[in-house]
Amino acid sequence: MKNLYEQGEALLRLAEREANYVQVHISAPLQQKLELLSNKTDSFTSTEHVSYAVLVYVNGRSGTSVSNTFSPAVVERAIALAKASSPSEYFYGLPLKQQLHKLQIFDKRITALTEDGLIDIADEMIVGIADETVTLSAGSVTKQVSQDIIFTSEGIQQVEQSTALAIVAECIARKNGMIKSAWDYRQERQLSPLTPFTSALQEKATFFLDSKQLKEKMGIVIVKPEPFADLLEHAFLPNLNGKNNEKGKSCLTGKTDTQVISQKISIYDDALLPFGISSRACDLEGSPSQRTPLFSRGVLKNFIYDYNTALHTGKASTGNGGFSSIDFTNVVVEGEYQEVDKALVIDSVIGAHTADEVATDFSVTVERAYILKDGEKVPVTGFMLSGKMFDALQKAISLGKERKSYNGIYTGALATTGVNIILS
Amino acid sequence: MLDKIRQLLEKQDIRYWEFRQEEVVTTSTTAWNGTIKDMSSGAKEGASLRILCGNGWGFAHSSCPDAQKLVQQAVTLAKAMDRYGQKKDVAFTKTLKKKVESNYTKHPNTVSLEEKRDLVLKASKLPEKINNLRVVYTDNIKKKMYTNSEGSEIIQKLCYTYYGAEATAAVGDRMESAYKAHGALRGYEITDGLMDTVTEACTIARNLLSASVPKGGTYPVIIDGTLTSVFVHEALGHATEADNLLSNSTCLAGNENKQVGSEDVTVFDDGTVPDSWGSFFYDDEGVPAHKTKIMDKGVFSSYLHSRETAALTKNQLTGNARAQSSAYLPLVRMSNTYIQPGDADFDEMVAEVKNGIYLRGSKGGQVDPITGNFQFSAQDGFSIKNGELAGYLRAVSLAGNTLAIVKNISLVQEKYEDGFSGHCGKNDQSVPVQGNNPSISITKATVGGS
Ligand SMILES: [Zn+2]
Repeated sequence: MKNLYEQGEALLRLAEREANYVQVHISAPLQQKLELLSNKTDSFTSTEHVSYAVLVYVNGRSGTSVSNTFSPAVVERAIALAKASSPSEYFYGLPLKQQLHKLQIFDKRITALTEDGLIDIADEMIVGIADETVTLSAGSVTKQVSQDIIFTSEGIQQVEQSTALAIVAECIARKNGMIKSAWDYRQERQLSPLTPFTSALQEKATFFLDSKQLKEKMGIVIVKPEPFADLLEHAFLPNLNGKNNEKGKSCLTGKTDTQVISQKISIYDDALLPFGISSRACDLEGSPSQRTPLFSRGVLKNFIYDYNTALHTGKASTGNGGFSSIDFTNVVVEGEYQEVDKALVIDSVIGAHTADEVATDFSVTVERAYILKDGEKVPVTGFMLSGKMFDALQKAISLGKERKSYNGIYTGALATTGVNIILS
Repeated sequence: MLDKIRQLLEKQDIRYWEFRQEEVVTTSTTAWNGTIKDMSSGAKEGASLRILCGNGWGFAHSSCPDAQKLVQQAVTLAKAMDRYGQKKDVAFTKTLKKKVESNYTKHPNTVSLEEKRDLVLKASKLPEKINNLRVVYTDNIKKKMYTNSEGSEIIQKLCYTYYGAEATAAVGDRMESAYKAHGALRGYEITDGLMDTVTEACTIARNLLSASVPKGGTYPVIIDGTLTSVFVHEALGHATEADNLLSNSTCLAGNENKQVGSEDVTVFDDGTVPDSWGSFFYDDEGVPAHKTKIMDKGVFSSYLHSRETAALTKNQLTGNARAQSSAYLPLVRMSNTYIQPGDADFDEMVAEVKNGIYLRGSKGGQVDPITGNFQFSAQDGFSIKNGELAGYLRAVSLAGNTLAIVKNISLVQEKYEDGFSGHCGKNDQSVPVQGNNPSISITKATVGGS
């Protein structure tokens, strides 16, 4: 049987017989997942999700097809779809081959992890989190070793190997009839110590147990990295997508080079971030990866683009091209830190994905929060957080120094005066 | 392949096994403002083997399965788990040999790609006062084959069809969008309803431009059938999934057979609703789909089960073990979840609320099943003043706690009013779910606004 590289080449050659332009992407992640339930290991799964994706352009019409088996049918279906399609609104071609960066996204210590090694990690999670008050109710340890192969009709032949280890833990604290849940998630390309993760989660679960009803609103709200990343993803980032900008579906359209958010905040799309979870040498069209300033000290600098949308808008691709889509890679938020001694700190929210991405309106239930005052922390509950991400970023006063990553968004906590608190 | 697997497993000390094979072909067309954005197709096949060895579960999947490799992987993992695991069990059914196919009058495979293209092209032509209109059509043709150590052999041919429209309207800096969709376990014939859905999305988007944001706070509310579907699914349904009971993470634990809600509330999860988006014939553990009463006049009457949760909690099987594809382990999932209609008429409900808020449509929701705290967002709404619908509202969301809210349901509309064809996510797996529900009124809930 052909290896993946040969398979990619074969699909490209076959497609080129009829198509003017071709993108081929083979992704082959090998995954081992160990699930935990009630302080015990529960089940072990092993899966390989190989996917063969082909995008063809035939006389300015495109067709996409995906399959999980290697067969000429995947190319044939893409061609048939392209022929049945109507002409794209515009099409300029695909990027030519360019020099690519070499990236750090592989850790052989992860590849070397055996089944017993994964069970050891799970045991360490249980020992680190469970005690007489806290139960590790559900969780998982997932090892992933992936191969990604990109071929294009413009000469790109890219093979990348990457590793990832993901840890998910949900725990419940119970004491004197009180109950509270806590959750955390970590996905990294390198093996790193587990203790900071488990001890923080354990502490979190117990600390919020005795939360009191929040009685009054506070001027400054600090949104921790996890809820901030969640809100940013659903209520703000889509406005930075070049396609939404082109279609007038972005609240940032026409605002390039103007001060839009606080000058304390800068935002980048950075596909070159060392060991970044979405780092890669090139996008699926073959454009080299780069670090794209989106906001620089609050000034809107750019949107993310694929090759065709960029050319159509008079820009250059930012290396965010997918298969007929424009996708973020690692989103990195940087900013100025300023000490805040009195604030309402939001640790976790639910419902961020129901936000209105264009209006940037959100209204979420706060699951865990505390009042920070003179170095003391008092856990509080029973309120909602609402507002516009636009205002929250405009009225930012500080970005926390401790950077964490969630869903490819790397950020510290946001301190702002631009959100509302709704008491119940 | 199956014979080879049987042979290989015979030599092992195995309590239970199941083998699932699946072939799925998806076709999808998307148009944006009268131009084709994407024509795509997906074809996936694969097989997985799940076995119980002692007290250890092992699962192996491959897209190009090799019997020897699957058995070896599943056995290794199961034995590794047996050394560390806790007590495991499975509930058995009688042996089933079945071949079933879902209903359709026009199978999507008989419709040309050109026709599917023209459908979305035509529907996405920009109407007046709409800036963007995205229309999507998708069909999903599945063949699922299930075999287990009890001797069951089940073949299901399922045809899912779905369409949706997202409309955006703008005036100056203000931009509003609305999404409407419909899916069914049916064929291409359901696209007869596409234009109505497009019109509805466009009307809401245009209207939202003149809507105002309510003042956040506590109000009596009415939620329409769509939002009730999300409420029943998110707030109540997830808490009835028995795997959450095993991990001691449901707010309903300890409330079995107790009055937790108002007497007006009777709730079903029913995988047998004909042609519904959330329906199937057999779940992914080969158990027949079932109509389960999860709440009976406010009394919490049943959890939803997989073979494992039914065995460990000594309950009846409910046919709720579902997996996104053969590549995933089945989990306890809902199907079609709904409140049984009551006897109130909508105008009566508005009159009873007197001063409050009416929330309509859904932009999704989320719940923490452990605490029962939930949040969901409506598409739009109206304020209710002096027993009548008054000002038009946008950006309205609802928050509360499951156990508190089910007690506060005061009226249930006399008919199914509207539904919601959605995808439910759990442990990185997504499955289609549906709800057709009456409107309900709640005496007190937190509404998020400005
Ligand atoms: Zn759900």
